[in-house]
Amino acid sequence: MLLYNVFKISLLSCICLSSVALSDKITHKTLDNGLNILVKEDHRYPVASITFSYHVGSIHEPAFQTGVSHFLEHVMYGRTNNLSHSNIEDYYNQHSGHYSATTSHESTSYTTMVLPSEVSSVLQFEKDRLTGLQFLPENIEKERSAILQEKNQRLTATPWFEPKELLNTHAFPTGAYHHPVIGWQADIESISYLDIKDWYEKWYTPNNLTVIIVGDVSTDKVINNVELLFEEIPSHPLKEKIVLENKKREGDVRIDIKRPVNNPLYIISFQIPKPDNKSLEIEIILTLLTDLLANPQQGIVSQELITNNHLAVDVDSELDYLKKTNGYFSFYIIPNKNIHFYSIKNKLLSMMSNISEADISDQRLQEIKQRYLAQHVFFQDSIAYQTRIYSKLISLDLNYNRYDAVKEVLDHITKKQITDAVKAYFNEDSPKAILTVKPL
Amino acid sequence: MKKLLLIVLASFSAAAQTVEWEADNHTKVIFVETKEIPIIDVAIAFHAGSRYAQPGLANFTGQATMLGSKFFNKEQVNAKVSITGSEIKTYVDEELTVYHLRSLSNISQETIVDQFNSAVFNAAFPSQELRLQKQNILSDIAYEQAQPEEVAKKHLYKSLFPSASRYNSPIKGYPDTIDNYHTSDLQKYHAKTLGQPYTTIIIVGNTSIDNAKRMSKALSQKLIASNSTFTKEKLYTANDPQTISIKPEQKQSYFLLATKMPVSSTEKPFVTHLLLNEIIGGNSSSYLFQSLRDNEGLVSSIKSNFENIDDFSLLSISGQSQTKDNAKIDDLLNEAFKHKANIITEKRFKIAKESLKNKLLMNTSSNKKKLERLIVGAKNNHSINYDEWLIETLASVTIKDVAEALQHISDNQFYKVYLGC
Repeated sequence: MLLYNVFKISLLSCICLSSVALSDKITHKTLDNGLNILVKEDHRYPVASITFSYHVGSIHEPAFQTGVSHFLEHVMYGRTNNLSHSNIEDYYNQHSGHYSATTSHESTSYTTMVLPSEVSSVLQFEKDRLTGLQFLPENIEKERSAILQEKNQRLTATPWFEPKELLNTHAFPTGAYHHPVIGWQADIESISYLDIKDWYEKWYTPNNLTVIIVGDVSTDKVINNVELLFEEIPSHPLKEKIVLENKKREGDVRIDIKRPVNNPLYIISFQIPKPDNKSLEIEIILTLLTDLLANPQQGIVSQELITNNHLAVDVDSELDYLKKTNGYFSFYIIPNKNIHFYSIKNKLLSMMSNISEADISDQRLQEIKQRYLAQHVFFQDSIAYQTRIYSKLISLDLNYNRYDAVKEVLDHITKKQITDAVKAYFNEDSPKAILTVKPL
Repeated sequence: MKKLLLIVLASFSAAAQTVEWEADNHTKVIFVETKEIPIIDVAIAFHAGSRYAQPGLANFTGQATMLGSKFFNKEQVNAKVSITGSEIKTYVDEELTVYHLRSLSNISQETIVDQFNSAVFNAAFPSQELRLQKQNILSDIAYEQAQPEEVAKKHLYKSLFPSASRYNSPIKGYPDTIDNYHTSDLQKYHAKTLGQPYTTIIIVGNTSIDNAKRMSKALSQKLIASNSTFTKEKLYTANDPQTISIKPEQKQSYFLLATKMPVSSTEKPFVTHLLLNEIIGGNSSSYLFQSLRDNEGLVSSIKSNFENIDDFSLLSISGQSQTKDNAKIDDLLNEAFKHKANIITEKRFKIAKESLKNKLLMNTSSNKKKLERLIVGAKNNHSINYDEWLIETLASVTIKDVAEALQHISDNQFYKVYLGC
């Protein structure tokens, strides 16, 4: 034990949060037509990741057109004025190492991984489909069929996907996050090619686009390249993006379902505040709480429910914070045999209301902070991750350099701030969305 | 570090240099220095995968190694590693057991490597912790049973390999086999793992070569010379092709077809087949993607894959479809590989060659991916420039080579698994 303590002290003394240096040199430029460019040089490997992020996603879709953003994502690989569909596929396969498109609640992004020498060629290609995409009915029908198959596969891929989608629908009963990104089946079946064309014309304009380039590139050169190709493309005024807020409600939403699963699952989701440019501290505190409360080995909730009271066999948590509206902090709990939902819920709420600074040792605080910082740095290893996070932040109207201050903010977070957050958000009165899944 | 600095080779990156040397006990050490991000990855790869053990034992041993050592219990291991934000992960496949430490470069590497060292080489497998680890593995197995890809792969391997073959069983084993393992089984297997030849230490990240030498010395000194090496069974004896149809509990529709070929991963025919795979279903300009998805609209996704499994290789085709279309897909694939017409064209060959070259060049886009590629090289007992060799060899592959390789694929040599029939 003595050896262990000596070891522990020597480790603590060697940790200095502020000495972790990241090369966060991001260059930002806005062209006259409103197009935004973000460039970050990373010369470790001869690769560049290029993301064209259009700031429109499923939360902006009107009723009866759910899934139109994702539908357009599929159609974007169709014919353009200059290239046929097969030319486009051939282009990507000949010139990139990897390409993909993703539609999220807030944006639709097209990412290509290329050798640095191919960056200008990708930019030219993206310009081509921004300015001259063609909408052919036969292509629309082919993609409609592929999307319906994709939806079916998602729903049936794991027994947990559909219940989680159901929880989301009920957690956001009136808001923009109510429907799945892929859309409701009936809408996918009925969206017309004119709906998709209209969506493209309305939102695929330079003033609704950010080009993000991370990798082995020269900042000046790629900015110059984007300027030459895109500055002449006219923008049109953007219509107001309507993002429906959830109506404020009292009490909990609860759904009980039965599915072909081996073990029951209880999901208890607490509503948390909406992010803004001043909320990095609360974002970090909530992330620290996922570790402090539900870490499998030492989490306060894990220990109490699993080890001390034998109420559960597994505890996990998930933070869904970066949204245009209030998100949720969720506990995923697999109960022990014959343990009723209310035994778990009551125990959880009682623990949250009684939590105190004494429950968090200095070492534990230091440890969860260090783990947060390490994860923050580890994520920077992937240039594709970097482009994704910049795209997400911009789509939410948050500063792209939001995480520059992580080290300083993290250093100053206290035990009191953490316990205050628990009491503020995880209590009996805060709105909760609850899902119980039981075996058939 | 007795035989130092055998070679220094420039890797594909202009910035990152790859250095290789031989440390104690003839352990190969590979080091790549990258400075931009304050991360260090250290991995030690043993030639001790699931093919050398009873079903699930290699994976169970690998995962349980971090449960505590003779000197520190599990909480102490966790405390020491996690207090620095570091992560230790174990990967076990058919051929290798790899322990991987990822940490920030501003913490004391000597201390953290010492901990890594202790966890790997002095694993104690405490019985109480093993019970929890068993539960974790059983949960993993249950999860995989809900994944169509995993279910199909499990059935494919069962049909490919005779029941006596270790490849017949999934890497994680079966619930009943996992339940029957005891501390002594794990200790015995682990001791044998540490004595395997061709162990490789890989270090990638923000540290100096002198530090890398110190770290690798600390790790390699613990390796034990042993004559008790694993016996490799001959794999290229397999069952006859068969078709399996499964109606899973979930509404899934997925197919996996595979054919085996006597191709080694270190010879030119392997690269020829990689290129053939690219033409058949490796990208969206490929024959299968264009014919079955774009033209026929029968699948939402389809791809082919070519992988080496020791003394033979496997070409597989997998995809997602509507159940009602499975018979038609089967007919089209049979027809395609019977007549082999229209699969290889000049245009498709050219695109596939460029596509494969790009994929190989861009295999390395992060420290983690660099580490993974070096592990693939170690797996093939190949030198540090495995990807370079693949690219150079690819340049010499002609359309005639690929056409000849295609002629050896026969429509009646496919093992088939259909889910959701």
